[in-house]
Amino acid sequence: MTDRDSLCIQRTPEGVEIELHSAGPVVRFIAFIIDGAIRITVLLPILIILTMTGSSGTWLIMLIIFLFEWFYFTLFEGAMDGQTPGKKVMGIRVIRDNGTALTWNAAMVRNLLRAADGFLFNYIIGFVVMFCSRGFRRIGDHAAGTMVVYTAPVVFFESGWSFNLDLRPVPPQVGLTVAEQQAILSFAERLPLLTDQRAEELAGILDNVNPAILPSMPYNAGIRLLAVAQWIKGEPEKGRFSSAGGADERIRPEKKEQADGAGHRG
Amino acid sequence: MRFERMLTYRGRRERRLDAESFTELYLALCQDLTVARANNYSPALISRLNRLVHAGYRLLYKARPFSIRRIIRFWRIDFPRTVRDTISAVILTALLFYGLGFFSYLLVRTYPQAAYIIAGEDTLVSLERMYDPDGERLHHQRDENTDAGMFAFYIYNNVSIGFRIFAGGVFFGIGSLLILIFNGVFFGTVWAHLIHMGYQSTFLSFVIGHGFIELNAFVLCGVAGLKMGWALTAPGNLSRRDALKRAADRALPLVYGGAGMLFVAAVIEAFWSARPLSFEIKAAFAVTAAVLNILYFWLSGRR
Repeated sequence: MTDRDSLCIQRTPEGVEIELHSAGPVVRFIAFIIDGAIRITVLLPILIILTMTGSSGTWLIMLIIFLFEWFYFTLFEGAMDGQTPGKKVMGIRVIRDNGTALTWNAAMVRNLLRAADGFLFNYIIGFVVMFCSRGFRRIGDHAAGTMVVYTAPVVFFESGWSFNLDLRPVPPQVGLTVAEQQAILSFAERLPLLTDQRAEELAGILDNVNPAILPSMPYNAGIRLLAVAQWIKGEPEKGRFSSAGGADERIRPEKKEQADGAGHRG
Repeated sequence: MRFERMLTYRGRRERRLDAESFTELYLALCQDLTVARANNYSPALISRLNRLVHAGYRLLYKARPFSIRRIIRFWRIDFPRTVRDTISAVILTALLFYGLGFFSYLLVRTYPQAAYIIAGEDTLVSLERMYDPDGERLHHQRDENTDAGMFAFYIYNNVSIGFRIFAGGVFFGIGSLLILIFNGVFFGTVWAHLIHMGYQSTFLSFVIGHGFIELNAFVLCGVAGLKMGWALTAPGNLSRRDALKRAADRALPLVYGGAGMLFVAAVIEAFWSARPLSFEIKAAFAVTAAVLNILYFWLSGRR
C-alpha cells in the first residue's frame, strides 16, 4: 500500500501489521451532523407528545434532553464498538491508540471533553487541535487515548477489470517501484467506479510526471494506464502476481475470478 | 467466510462455542495478510484482509464486559479510595472553593451593595422572591408533578455544571478553577445577601439538606479537572499527552462519583428540601446527611 499521511501502522502480538487510516475532520463533522439530525428527529416527536400530555411530562423531557446531550455519544460508542449511527453511515469508528476496541471509560472521557472541544464557537478548538495532531485527534481523543479511523470496506473490483477492448498488456517504459506498481493496480481495480473524466484526470497526472510511463497507444490515458496495470498483474495463468496455482490455498477462491481474460467492462 | 460470520456474533454463548475455531481462523488470517503483503498481491485483497484482521483483533482483545458487580464495587470501594488517595488535592480544592465562597460571604455582609455587582440585580430579585418567608412559599409553587420536574431540572443543571468543571480542567486547569470559583463566590454572595434581606431561615431550610453533598460533588469534579490541568502544566517525566491520558484515567472515578453525588443531591433537593418542615427537622436531616457523607469517604472500602 502506498503511504499516506493519515496512515498508522499497528503491530499486533501475532506479528502482523494492521494498517489504520485516521479519519479527518470533514468526515467526522459530517458524521456529527448526521448524529445531530438523528437526535433531533428522535427528540422532536417525544417532545411534542410529552408537551401535549401537559406539565406532568416536563420532567421526562428534561431528563431525555439531558441524556441526549451528554450520553448519546457515550452510550453508542461504548455499546457498538466505537460507532454512533452517524459514524456508521460514514464508515468510521473510534478505536483506542493501540488499535483495540473502545472501552466504556475511554468513551466517557472523550465525550465528556466535548465540552472542552466545543467550548468556543462550534468545535473550533476541536478542529484546530485535530489539525495539529497526528491522527487527527481532538482534545477528547488525546485525553482518552483514542483515534477515529476508517473502517468501512472499500469497494474494489478485483475481478471486473478485464475489458472487452483488445488490450495487450504493455510494459511500462520506466522502472517502477513496488509501491508505484501497487498504485497502478489500485487504479485499475477502482476503474469501474470512476467516471471516464476522472479516470482521465488521474491517469493524466502520470503523463505530467513522466510521459514515458504510459505507452503510446491510440487510446485515452486511462486505458493506456490500464494496459500497464494488466502487464503488472501478469497473465492469468502465469506471472508473479497471480495466485491461481499459488502456494496459498485460502486466498485462491478470491483470485480465481481473474483467471478468465475477457469479461466486459464493469 | 466463516470468520466474517463469527465477527457478527453478539451473544456470549455463541462466542464460547466457537471460540477455538475463531482463534484458529484469526491466526490463519494474520498469516494470509502477511503473505499477501509480502508478495504484493492485489491491493483490494490486502485491504480486505486488513479489515478482517483488524476486526478480529478488536474482538479478541476486548476489555472486560460490562457488569453490575463492577458498578457496585466502584461505589463501595473504588470511589472512596480514590478520594482518600487524592485527599490532599481534595482538601486544597475544597479550601479554595469554600474559602473564596466564605470570603465573598464576608464581603457582601460588610458591603451589601457588592452583591449587585457580583450577581446582578435580576438574579437577586428572583432569588429574593423564592426565599421570601412572607411571600409565596417555595413549596406552594410546587405540586406533585413539578417536584419531579424540578428533579429533572436539578439533574440537568447540576450534573452539567459538574461535567463542565471537569472538562474545563483540560485548559491547564483554568477552566475548572474559573467555574468552581464562580460558583463558590456566587453561593457566598447569595447567602450573605439573603441574610441582609432577612430571608435566611427559608434559604437555609432549603439549602442545608442537599448543599453539603452538592458542593462537595463540585469540589470532586474540580479535583478531577485540576488533575488534568496539572498533568498538562507539569507533566514530570512523561510527555504532556501521556501525562494527560494518565490523569484523565485516574480522574474519571471522581467524575463518576461526583455525578452520583449530584444525583443524590438532586433527589434531596427536589423531594425534601422544599418541604415546609420545622427547622429542627431540616437541620437534623442535614447533619445526618453530612455525617454520612464524611463517614462514607472515610471508612468505605477500607480493609
